[in-house]
Amino acid sequence: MHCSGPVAWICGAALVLLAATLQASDGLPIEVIHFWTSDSESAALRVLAAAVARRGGRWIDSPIVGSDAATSVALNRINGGDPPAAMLWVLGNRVSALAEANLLNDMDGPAARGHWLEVLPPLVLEHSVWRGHFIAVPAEIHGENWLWFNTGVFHDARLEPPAHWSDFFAIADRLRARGIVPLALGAQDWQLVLLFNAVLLDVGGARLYRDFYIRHDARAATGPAMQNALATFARLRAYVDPGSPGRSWNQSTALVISGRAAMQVMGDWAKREFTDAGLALGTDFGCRLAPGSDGQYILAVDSFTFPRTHDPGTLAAQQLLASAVMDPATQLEFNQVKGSLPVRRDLSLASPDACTRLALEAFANPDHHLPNPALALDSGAEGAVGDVIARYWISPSMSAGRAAQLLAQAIADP
Amino acid sequence: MNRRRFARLGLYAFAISAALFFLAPLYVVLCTAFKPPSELRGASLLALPLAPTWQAWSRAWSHACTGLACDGIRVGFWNSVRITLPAVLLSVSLGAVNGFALSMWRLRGASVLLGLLLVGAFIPYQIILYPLVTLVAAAGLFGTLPGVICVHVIFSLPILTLLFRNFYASLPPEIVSAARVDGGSFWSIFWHVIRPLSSGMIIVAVILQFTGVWNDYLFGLVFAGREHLPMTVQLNNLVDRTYGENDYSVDMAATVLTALPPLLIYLLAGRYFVRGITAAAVKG
Amino acid sequence: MRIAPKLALRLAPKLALAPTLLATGICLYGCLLWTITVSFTTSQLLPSYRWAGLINYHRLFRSLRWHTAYANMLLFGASFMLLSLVLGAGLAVLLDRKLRAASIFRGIFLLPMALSFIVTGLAWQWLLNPGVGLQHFVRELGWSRFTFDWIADPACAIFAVAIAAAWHAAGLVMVLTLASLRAVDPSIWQATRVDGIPPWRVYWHILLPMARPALLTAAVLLLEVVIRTYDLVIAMTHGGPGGTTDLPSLFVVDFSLHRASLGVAAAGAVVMLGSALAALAPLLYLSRRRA
Repeated sequence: MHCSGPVAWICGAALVLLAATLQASDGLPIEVIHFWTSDSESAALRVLAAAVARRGGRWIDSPIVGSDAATSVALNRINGGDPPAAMLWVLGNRVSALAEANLLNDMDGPAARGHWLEVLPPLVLEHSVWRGHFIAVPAEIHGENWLWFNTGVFHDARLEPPAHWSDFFAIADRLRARGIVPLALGAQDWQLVLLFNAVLLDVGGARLYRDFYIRHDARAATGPAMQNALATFARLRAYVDPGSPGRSWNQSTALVISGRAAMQVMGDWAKREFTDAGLALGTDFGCRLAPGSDGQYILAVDSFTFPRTHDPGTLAAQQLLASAVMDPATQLEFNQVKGSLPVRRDLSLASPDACTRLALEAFANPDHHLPNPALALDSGAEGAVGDVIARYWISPSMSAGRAAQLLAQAIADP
Repeated sequence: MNRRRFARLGLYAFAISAALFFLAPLYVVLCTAFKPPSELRGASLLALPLAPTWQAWSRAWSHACTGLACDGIRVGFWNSVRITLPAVLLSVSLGAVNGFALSMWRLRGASVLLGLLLVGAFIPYQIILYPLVTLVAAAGLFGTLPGVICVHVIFSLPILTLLFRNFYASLPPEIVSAARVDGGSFWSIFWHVIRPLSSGMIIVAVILQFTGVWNDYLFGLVFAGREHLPMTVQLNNLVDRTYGENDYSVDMAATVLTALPPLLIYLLAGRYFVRGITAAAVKG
Repeated sequence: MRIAPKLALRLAPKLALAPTLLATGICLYGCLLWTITVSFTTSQLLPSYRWAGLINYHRLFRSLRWHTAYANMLLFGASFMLLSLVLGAGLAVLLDRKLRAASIFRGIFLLPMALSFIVTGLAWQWLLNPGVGLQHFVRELGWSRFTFDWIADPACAIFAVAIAAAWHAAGLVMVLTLASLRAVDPSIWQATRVDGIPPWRVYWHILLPMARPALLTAAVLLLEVVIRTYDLVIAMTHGGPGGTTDLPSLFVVDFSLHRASLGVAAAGAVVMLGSALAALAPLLYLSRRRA
């Protein structure tokens, strides 16, 4: 069902009326399937639930850990005729796959009313709109190319965190000599890809990143710059600790928190780990964009999507949630609790901390926004790239040239 | 004499090492569940708790957060009971009846039928969720308790039928022929003659089924519907997080709490389990 | 009691079987046929029914990941089944020897069966963690060069998973074998004692071969575990490190959900089923050929 233009206003008004009448009973029920199951994510959820309640809705929580399980449940619920009102997805290929399968309602009404076209950054807008309709409501912007480090460790060693990956190795050698693990890493597929992207961004620049991920340029994928990036990435093997295989990202962060490791390349969701452990930004831990990022920002976005339904009650609920999520006040509060950036560009954050300020600087220029693999590639290619990087990491005998070939194959496969 | 003693010692050594092997993971889980948060970071998982506490247990049971709700895993407990008991009752009864029919009444193609049923057990469940959901939804049972119970029953029938058939095949066929001479029908023979003889096998089937259904995660997640999610789903939500701190003591306490009913059943009825399988005198 | 009509008597078992057989047949075989069909279509996130020929099978066999997963399944299957059968039979022999506190030992050996695979995987992951688990513990005790980091070692991780799975399944093998051993005629034991044959010979040459049907049944059940193992691997290693504990079941789930390639996933499932039948056939043949 899509309402566009002036019809949108009529539809919207009708739904608001409906919502008002239903509100008289108990609050419009809105069941949301999501994968935010940790304590800090729960805190952010409460903000959203409160915003929904203020508008007359009632958040019904269906948490399912693991995005695969959540996908499975959501698809099966839709297939079984009992879809939830809303689902949380990583923005990008998953959402496109759902839209392509014609499973989503659009939120053109709330989008028009809220002027979303004007306030969303172009990269996010591009993926929230499918064939002219708003099928995803982005909730937050995370950055993936960050460097987190233990300031005490660097201070004692009289070293500075590296500004480029070429600087990393000398610094890491000296850290290693002092018995510190230079780089904390959990060798899971997605973490390896995240680290690789940070290296790629430095060694190949934003241009190579775009050529590879966005233009699927096979020549770029097999060229000398890419091989150089792969070779640099491979050298990092020597600087992680033996416990890294399969370790989850936050356990790796714990190494940096305790001072056993010096630094970690991880998204900005890591900040919460440090603050929860009682460390103070600046004195105990520090944050920078990953070495050589040069102001570029790799985005990761979570968004809400709304399964196709014609039931007027559910429709009203969906629109209620969509408006609540994009509401400026909610955006500010929600993202502050979650540690991410609001999706709206027309907001000014009150007293951001040093890391958020860095993020805002990078985020300010839309030309510096880069898509993460979920945004850039379709899900098959994204998975294939992860396979190659993970395989390359544990195979010292694989040459950078061979890995580059495999990468080219991964993004070329239709 | 000395050689015999040596052999006995060797047996006990093997038994004790095997016991250590089987207990080690459980020891780790239990130990950690009793540790206060201060002892968790960096310490060895195998060290005994210095200041054991029930803190993690009460958190796991009633306070742990999974998503918005912070009610622990007790929410799922009664759901698990409501799913498991009917599923066990139904599947064991049907398995027994089917096994009886296949073993004692000369049916053409009985082994073929059994073979076909068995093949069904080799399909990975995840791939057939889509058509299964379609079927269950068509029957109007998707997201309901009866729905998830039916799914459990259907998927356990092959193995249970096999077990019961083997068991009944080991009974002397004269029992049935004698009862038929006395004028018994299929159902009356089953109820009056066979059922009392099956208690060994029934216990085995009940124990296996109870464990299987109680510990199931996938079917409960997909078919039970939001209000009837079993304990295993809560447990998974708690333990499988990738964000945020993993409080290992709470995770392990939750793990033990979820595993407690089948564990208790095995501890209490273990001897009947072995006796029951012995009575089954498997004939392949 | 009146004699029931003959026809009703003949029909009764068929009627008793019919409803459940029908339901099971429709469900299992309907789903199976659906899977086979979908493997020949262009299905992405949702099933579509457009014919796509063999392209999914091409993609499947071209995939790096499938080959690794399949090879892992063979490694895992062989080591798991061997370990479970040997351990289970060994424990059955042990318990047949009339030890003191046999029921306590038996209870201990049966405990893992009560746990779900998720719990098993988690417990073993914690136990085998090189940093804080067994390796760390033994090193603290003094053997500072003790290493047992199989779970983190790409070459050995799959065997660590096999050990955890065998830990879970050995109890079942033990019970089935024990039942067979207990059913043995005591006169055999008397005869061997008279002849002066040592007990281990009796077991190896006489009793275990007699327990073959039990072992074959156990093997069939173990084979089912090999094909369906998913939760254990996810909980224990998540397919890592670097895909060395990846299995076809993980591949199928990942491709159908995460990578929106339902067609390829279905092709993988069909190949899995075929392999299972190929492995099942010799087992069934062996159990038919009873002396």
